[in-house]
Amino acid sequence: MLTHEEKLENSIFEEVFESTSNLVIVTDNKGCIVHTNNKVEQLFNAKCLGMPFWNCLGLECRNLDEALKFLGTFSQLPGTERKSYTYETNGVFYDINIIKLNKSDKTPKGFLIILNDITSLIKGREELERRVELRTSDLTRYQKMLQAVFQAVGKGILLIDDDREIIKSNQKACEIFGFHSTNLLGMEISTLFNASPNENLLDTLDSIIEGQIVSSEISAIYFDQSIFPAVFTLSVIIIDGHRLWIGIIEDITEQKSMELQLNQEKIATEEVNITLRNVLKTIQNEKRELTNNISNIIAKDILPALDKIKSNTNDAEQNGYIDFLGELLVSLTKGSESALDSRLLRLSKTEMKICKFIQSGFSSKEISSTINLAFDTIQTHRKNIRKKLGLSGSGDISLYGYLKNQKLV
Amino acid sequence: MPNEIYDVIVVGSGFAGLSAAIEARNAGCSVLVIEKMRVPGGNSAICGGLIAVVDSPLQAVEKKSDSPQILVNDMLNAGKGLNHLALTQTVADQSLDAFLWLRDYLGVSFKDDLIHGGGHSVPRLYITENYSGVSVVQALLVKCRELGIPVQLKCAMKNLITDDSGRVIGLNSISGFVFPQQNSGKEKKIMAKKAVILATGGFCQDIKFRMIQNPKLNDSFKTTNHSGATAESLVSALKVGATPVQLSWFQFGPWTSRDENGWGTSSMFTLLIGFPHGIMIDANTGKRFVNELTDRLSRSNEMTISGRDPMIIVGEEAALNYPKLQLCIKRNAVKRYESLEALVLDQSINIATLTTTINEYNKYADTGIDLEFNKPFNQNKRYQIKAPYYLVRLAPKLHYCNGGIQINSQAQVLDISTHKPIPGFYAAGEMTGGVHGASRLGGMSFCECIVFGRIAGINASNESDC
Repeated sequence: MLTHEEKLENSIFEEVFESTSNLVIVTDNKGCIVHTNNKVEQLFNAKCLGMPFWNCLGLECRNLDEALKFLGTFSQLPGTERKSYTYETNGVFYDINIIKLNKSDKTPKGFLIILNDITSLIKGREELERRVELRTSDLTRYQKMLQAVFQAVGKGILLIDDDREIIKSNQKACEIFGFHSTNLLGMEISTLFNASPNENLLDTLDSIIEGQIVSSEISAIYFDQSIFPAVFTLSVIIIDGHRLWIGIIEDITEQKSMELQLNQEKIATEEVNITLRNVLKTIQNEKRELTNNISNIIAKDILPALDKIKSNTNDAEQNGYIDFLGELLVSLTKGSESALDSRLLRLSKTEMKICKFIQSGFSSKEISSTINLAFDTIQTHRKNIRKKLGLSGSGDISLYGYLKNQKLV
Repeated sequence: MPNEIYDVIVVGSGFAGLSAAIEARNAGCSVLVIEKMRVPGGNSAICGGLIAVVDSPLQAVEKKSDSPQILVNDMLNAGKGLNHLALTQTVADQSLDAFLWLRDYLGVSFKDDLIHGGGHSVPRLYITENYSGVSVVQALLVKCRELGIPVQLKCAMKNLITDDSGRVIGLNSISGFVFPQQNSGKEKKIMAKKAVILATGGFCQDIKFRMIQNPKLNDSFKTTNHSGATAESLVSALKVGATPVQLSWFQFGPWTSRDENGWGTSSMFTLLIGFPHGIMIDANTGKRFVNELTDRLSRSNEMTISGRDPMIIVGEEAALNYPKLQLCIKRNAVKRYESLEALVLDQSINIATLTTTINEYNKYADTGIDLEFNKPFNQNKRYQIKAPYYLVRLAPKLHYCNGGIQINSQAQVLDISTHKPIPGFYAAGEMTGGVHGASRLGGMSFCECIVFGRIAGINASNESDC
């Protein structure tokens, strides 16, 4: 049984020498190989005894010093992790370490060279790199998609951090506010909004919770200090314990001006409506009055007159009632444009004809030549017409004047 | 549909374009500004807001003497003599006027600190209150709104229109243009009675065009520019006879972080704090390798030497001077370390060499003299580098096109055959070449844009009607 106090026999060292998976080479102080373990023999077909180790290993060095320098440089960089030279043969990667035997003496007795099989490390790293690249390209793809969405949205998007500073903006947001994205970065969100109407905004920032969406109309400031109306929609998410506000901004200047126009048109229309309604009412009232009037006259005078006519056998009285009826009926048409003058009804056909001429402005002489009657005949007709229409006597009202506004059938 | 007609059409809504529009309007012209992107301002809206001013009020306060000639010399030095002297002189001569116009007429606020930019022999840089050009673009746009200058967004210039004599009389535009879809929008002619002013910036984002000028600038090179910095309108100008100048000279910004896209949040930190008050080291050696405040070209060249891994390290005392520090840390562009051990572990730097470097530098900071690289220290404020440390990993990015089309000191575009001004045609800003030569100094582009933008606007208004 082995104990730590007994010195290990040589044979045990030999077993170590032979059983390790590393390649072990021992050289003399000139670098020529004096011992190798089995693995080396297997690899190099035991041809390397006596050869300088750098030739055997295929290093590009011409002598011991160069070889020592070459292998040594990799282990002496201060402050850096220990790098080593990787030697590859038959698809197997080795890490070469060279150690001076008898380190304490100035001249080494020889050198010990150990080649460590690190193939699995190398392969493992390659696999890892491949996976990382895959992940990275996935990530890049998602990033690209997200970026595309971020920019393509037709509204402005602002991402705001805990300090109320803008940390990201899309192109539309830049366009809405007139600022280049570099300038929006780091800007305090409240500077983009017109102070007094927007006190609620800052309160909302504080009070909003995840899952809530708060939308409000606000007054925003464009790059050249002009004010414009906008809709600001706010939501918040918590990442790593910090709040990230997402603000969506929409310029509603056009919308507002259309709203204003619409409003004005609405008011105008309403006024017209009211006027029309009043007119309608007036008309209805008048109509009612008129109808009432007619009903009254019919009830009070016409129907009784008709009764009288029915029950009366005396011709003269009947004619009298019929005349009376005629005048009543005519009076019903008073107030309409086509007011009939009952007296005109008494005119004969020729008299009516002459009236029409007079109405048209013909003189008696012209009428006489036109309808081929003697001048005196025309005058006589005029006298009769005047008598029938009740204009005789003073002659104040000329026939022409009287007839002017009458409708002649 | 009747054509739109204006006295002056300005293409581009950055510093140069809006300045031109305002001056033309104030001279009585009807002006239209068209901008192809959906937001105004281009690169001007995202730049650092640094402007160089000679004989400024702050220089008077800090008793720093300066003169346009000193600035011209600085620009010629950095520009390696490739500058068109008349243009460089104009910018230097009018820098104070430009600054006062911004401060007093437009109401832009600047900080009270004078900054010493790389390559400038004296401190002469002002910076806007919020370390960005956005407040200036804002002020310009507000003024445009007040003056009734329409700024049409999503309206690109397709090509310029000239008459038989070669005079520029208008342009074909595409309205409803959605960058970068070339087929979007509807064509619309816009005529200009007096002039068209091009102020469309550079083409750092135009990989195809920049590779024609310098085949090495393939898509592996990142840029600080906004995505719209492309060459179409430069090409339109060349097509009507403009003269190309130094188109292959590009500026790399040395202060950009490799951990951020584009201009990012940390560029100004590195520019204002990192380079003046800290050290730039090569992480592979742990040592400094250049004067952190030399001109940008030299710095970028040193930084991009193969195998170099440039980083900036400053101490907390200096770092806290930058108000937006937390934002940079949040974006992981600036990293904070409690100890040097933590720093070297994270960045794989040799701790022995780095400690030596920092100690040496702290000695220089104490005496005010950098024995190794002669970095000019601010005589009033010098910071030691002590824990906690702040670090930025740098990678120069393509930043500015030094070249462009040729103009004279009246901002008139010169014809390539006759070398005379093309009537009705003006240009200003980054799209013109010759002001800066081989390497541009910080704060000079902002200055150039205002100076030449205003000149273009005023001169355009004096063109006779066509």
